[in-house]
Amino acid sequence: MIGVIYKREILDHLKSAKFLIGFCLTLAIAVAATVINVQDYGRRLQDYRAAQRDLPANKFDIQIFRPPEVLSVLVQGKDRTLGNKASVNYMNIPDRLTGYMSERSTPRPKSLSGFGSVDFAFLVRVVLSLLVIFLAYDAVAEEKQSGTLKLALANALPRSSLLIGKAAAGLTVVLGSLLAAAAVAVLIMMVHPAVDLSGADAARILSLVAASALYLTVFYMLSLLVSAAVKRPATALMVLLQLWIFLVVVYPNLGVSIAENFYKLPTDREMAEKKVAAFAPYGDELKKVQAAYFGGDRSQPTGMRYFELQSLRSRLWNDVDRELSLRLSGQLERARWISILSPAALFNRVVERYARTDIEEYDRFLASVERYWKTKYMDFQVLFYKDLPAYRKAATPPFEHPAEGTSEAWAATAPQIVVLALLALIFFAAASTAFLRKDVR
Amino acid sequence: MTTLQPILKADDLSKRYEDGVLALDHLNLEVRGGEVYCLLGANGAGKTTTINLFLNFIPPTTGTCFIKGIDVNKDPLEAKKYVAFVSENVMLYGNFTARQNLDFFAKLGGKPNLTKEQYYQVMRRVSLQEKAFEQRVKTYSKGMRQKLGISIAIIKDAAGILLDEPTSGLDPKAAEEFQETLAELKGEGKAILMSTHDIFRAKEIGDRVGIMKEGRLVMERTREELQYEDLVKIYIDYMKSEPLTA
Repeated sequence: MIGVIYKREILDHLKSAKFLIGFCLTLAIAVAATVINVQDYGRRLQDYRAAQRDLPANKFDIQIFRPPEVLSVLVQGKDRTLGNKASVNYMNIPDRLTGYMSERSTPRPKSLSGFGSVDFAFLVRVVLSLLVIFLAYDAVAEEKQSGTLKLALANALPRSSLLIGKAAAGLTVVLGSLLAAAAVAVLIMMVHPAVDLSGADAARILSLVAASALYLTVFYMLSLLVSAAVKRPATALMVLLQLWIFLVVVYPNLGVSIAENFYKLPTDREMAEKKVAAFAPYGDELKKVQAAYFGGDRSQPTGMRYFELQSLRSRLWNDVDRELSLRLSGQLERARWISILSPAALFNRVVERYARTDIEEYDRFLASVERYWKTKYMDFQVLFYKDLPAYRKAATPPFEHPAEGTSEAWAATAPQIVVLALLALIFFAAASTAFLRKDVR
Repeated sequence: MTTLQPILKADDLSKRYEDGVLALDHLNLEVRGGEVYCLLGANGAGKTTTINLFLNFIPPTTGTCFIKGIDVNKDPLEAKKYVAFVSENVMLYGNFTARQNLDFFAKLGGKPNLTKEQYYQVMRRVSLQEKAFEQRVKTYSKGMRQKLGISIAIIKDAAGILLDEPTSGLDPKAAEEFQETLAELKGEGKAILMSTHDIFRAKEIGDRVGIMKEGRLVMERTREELQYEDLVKIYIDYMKSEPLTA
């Protein structure tokens, strides 16, 4: 019986104008967004390579550039907005990246809310989730209103079979559309000369397609629930569209807004005062040593002390900066907790993680910069005062930023995946209950 | 030729809805194979409730429905194997052709391996135009949809057929064709329970006619008895009489 229902539902979807329009729109957006984003990625990669090539040969001031993420073509996330340049010298451990190729910067990067540009993630989060609603809102309500439900249930057809057949067929159509869009997007990426996808990238792409499938399943089950719970398809559509606006648009941003208002961060002035206070015990000494050093005392002890005090100030200021960073992370975490029941917020977090375009990747990069400063860079600068000829001969130590492994990304996103899966299950269970108790007269 | 054992049987059947309305009040009726039982009554008399109870769409408050001796409430899926249903306003799946609709409902009715020609034969039998067989049902008139609805009931080949005001809104020609089909089904030994407002058709086709009022079966006459009585007058008299609950 499930097979009979499944076959009919598939055929019904494929014949419906709303599916054909939705499918064509999905493919068109997938093509347009990927073409635009892959070209943008190519330009950013070119800029990155040019910036590295044109680096000035300065051993004190080192410019570190963050390369664009290849999967930002599919999920732009924060890749474009959070900057990509860190200026490292012994007087400064960068607490943030400056704007993208010096174009843009934000003083509060983790407070960024809302979603980025049109990309595959947008396609799934907005377009496909709406397609799901339009495909499923009438799954039960329309049949109830037209009387076909009564006619079908006049046979030896268990209600559970009817619902399972409908859900399976609806999901097949939706996930088929998703796979088609993903295949088109990946194909466009593969033929672009700037894109070089590794095996790990392929695993991440598969992961984000799977996460997209789960996200759409949540919306399908929610639509099925509303369709089973209300009497008229028009009512189901209205309820679902309002739920969609709340869950996809309002709720995630509401979380950020609430967290910002109820979890206050220190002002720039307070930060500056904290930095002054942190270094206050050494302020006078630095002035004396600085005066002596620039007054002509270039002895090694004076030079080393000057260097030590400068680097100490950098570390102390970095501690203050890290405290702010932690508080920003705390604010972000609260926003995420508030938005934990928003499938869109969960989905966004997961796919940005898989694409390495999330705020955590930004933090990881900054952590690599800090680690570089504290180890390789400072060890190298000490040579200047200890063994100047050796310093002059030595090359600047290379900066390294190890990529996050796919399994680490899976582990990090497991809670969000579990919540999405639970939402899908809860909605399906509720839809089943509503349908089994539905008055089909 | 009627069978001895009833195919459709309501035994002391009552239904009180959640809002307190008593829709059906201790109904007892039997419909044997080869018999057409017409239920007459005003809106809200309990005709559709009776059919809904036979189809297990709602549970009875008291009493039992039996289809071929199977308790509908205890084993609804088994019971529904032996009954077909035609509603007042057959809508079907508009994006599907008549044959595709027929194919779907035939499979639900336990007939998975019918050929295209078999579907065509059934549609010819109810006088559906040949050119409409492969047309999408959304282009159909109400009369055509009703014919397709009765095709679905025919193709299931069930022992019992429940018809809920099937001729409502049909033009006279379509209603006449419908009546002929019903007579054929009766001849094949089907037990037919039909709720209707159409007193004239009930008198013509019904082997027995029951009049319902406020959930009660207030009168029952056989075809033979009705030869000597004016059904219209009886019906109107019952409708004009004092409320039963007063």
